[in-house]
Amino acid sequence: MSSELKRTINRQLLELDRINGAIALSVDVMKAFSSTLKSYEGDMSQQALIKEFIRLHDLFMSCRPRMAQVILDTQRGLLHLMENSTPDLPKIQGLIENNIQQKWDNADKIVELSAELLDNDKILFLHSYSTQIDRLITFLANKNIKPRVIVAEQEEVKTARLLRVLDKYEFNFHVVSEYSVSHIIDSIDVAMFGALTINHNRGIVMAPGSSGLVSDMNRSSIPVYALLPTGKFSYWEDNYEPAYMERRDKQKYGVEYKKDVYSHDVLDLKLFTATITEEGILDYDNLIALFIKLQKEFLIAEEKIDTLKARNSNG
Amino acid sequence: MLMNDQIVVSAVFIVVFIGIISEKLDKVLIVMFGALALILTGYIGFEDAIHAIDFNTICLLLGMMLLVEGMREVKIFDWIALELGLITKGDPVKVFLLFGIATAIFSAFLDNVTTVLIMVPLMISLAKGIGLNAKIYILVLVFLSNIGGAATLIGDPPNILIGTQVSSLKFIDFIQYMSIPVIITSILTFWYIKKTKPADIKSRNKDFPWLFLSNLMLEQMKREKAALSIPKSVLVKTSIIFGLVILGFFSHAIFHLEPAVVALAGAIVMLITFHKKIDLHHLVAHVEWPTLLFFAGLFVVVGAMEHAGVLETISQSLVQMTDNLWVLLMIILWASAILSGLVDNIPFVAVMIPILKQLLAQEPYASNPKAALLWWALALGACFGGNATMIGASANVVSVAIAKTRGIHIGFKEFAKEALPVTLISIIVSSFYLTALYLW
Repeated sequence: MSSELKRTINRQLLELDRINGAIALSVDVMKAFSSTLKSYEGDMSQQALIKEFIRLHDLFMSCRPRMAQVILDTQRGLLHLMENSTPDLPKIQGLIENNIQQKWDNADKIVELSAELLDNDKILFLHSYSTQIDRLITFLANKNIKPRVIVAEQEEVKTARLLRVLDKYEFNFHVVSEYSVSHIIDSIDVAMFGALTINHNRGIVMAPGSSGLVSDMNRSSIPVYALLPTGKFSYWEDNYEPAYMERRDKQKYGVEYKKDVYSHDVLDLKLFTATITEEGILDYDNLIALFIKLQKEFLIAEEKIDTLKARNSNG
Repeated sequence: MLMNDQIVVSAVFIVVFIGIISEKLDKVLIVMFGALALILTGYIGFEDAIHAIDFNTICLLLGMMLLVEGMREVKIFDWIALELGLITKGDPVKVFLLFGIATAIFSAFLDNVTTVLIMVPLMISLAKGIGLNAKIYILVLVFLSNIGGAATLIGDPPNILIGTQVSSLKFIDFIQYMSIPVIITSILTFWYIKKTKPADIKSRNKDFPWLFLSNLMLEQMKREKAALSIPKSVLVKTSIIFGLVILGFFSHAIFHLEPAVVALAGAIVMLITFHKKIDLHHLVAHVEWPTLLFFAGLFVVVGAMEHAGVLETISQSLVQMTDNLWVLLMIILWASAILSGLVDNIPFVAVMIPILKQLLAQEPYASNPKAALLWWALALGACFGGNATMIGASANVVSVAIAKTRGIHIGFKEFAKEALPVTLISIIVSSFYLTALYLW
């Protein structure tokens, strides 16, 4: 596997995930698969295409952090190729189109379920910007449901992105520091957070700063929900711990020190009232049951791919 | 033999020139200080200093800056760059050719720095996104911006200086005389880079993962283009205004309008048309006032040299040195190319213009109709020579700086290694071209 290729794909996936979010990234990956199948001038036989899909599958698995939806989609494509001896390109394109539509339908389903928990009299608490929250605000505005919104500020750029959407749809909002919500916590009716994934330890991965907020909500018995499509579940062990360092200089602060800045928080799922997925609003037990079921399916598919890889390498 | 006044004024010019090269102080400050020193010491009177400033050049630069900034404000350049990226479909060969050609064309009608400011960031994103060797693609854009800029009166500062100060040269003359060497040099530059970097510039249509990566990048570009959401009316109106400005340049001699008037008219029409979208104060703040001050100061310094008779003495020396026009053409071409590669070419061209004017007024050149070729030798040498080193032209410096901010370091030697052969090719082409014109 070319290290340059691996590095470029990893960088590109991370960048696109950061800019557009996981759903948009997985949609773009699907579209890129579709265009690649149209313009590829190499061998288009079943065996050759399986080999190329395995290359990409392995590349995605080697990325850190792994992009769950991208891996699942590639796995699905690979299984389809394995089951059909003659690759039928129009059929594959059709499946890709359906898959993309399914992603948006799932996102819409989550938004609809979330909206059912809100009305004009409620005070909604938001923190991290996510595409799912963005879609929820748009959906609420279209339905003329306008709860009052309290936003705890995270990184300014991300909060500004969230506020632009609220402002666009003329929501009544006000902003507080993420480290001093105790002053307003009693006025909150419901809190919603876009989640990044559930990891193999069944911890829920969220934007940095979420941990303290969710704990506070939990302690004050405020209903707190995570919005998460099941396509984002991570079924593998991944100890990726992205952090960068900020330096404070002596001239400004009188002392020089470094600060680790982490890209996410990992929280106990039990802190949440429920998780809103396209499969429904699931409490802890139901969510874990769903996770285990889907993980099993994923592992079976991986076994099939491993068997095929072993067969290819032997002969 | 130089007189005392001439020695002092020449010394000031040399100090200014060395000051610019040394980069210890901003070149604008150095030139302004030189001009002020000459005025305070009485080597040029204040009235003469004001008259020495060529407002035709200054207004042309100002008009083009306002027009280009206006077009940038309505995001037309972002749209074009993304559209170009989408047309290439992420194919390295198409990226190489299409971005190169677009850069050459852009820089013929916009200034080179603006061109690289538009093209280089997108090229870096594209190259990083699809795993290309970004350095070589950035260098191609730099080379083509300097080469393409040579094609028109407004493409490169040396041409602006020559075109605005030599009244006999019109916009159409630049196209007529400069486009042939520009096209040949561009083709040879593509050929040379493709020949020497085959691994970096090859199609990926048979490599599935790389092709996938290119397509993924295209999806992102589609998103960015959609996010720009430029209304069709903005595209149409901007195209019409810019088209009329270009038409105005082509026909300025017919309507007896200076290029500066055409550029300023275009800028004002642009600002009026988009007065709701463009904040005038914000736009004016983005005009490169230091550049305009640099030109103004330089005109005063050169004016003082002319006033003291330094330039006349130099032109007489050139006549005494050779009465063979071909030899002089080659001297001007190669000297301006070498100097442009090593130092800022604007002061050199600013000094050479009055020298050549005086030289062309003397025999044997006054009666030789081919002697006007000297202007093209100066323009070709100054524009193409700018490619030779990292500091040879502003576009080079700006591109290298943009690359650095995106984590791509292009060193002086690395730049020169690719740039020197390209520059040599362009000057050899120009030599043959001028020889052919001389003999024809």
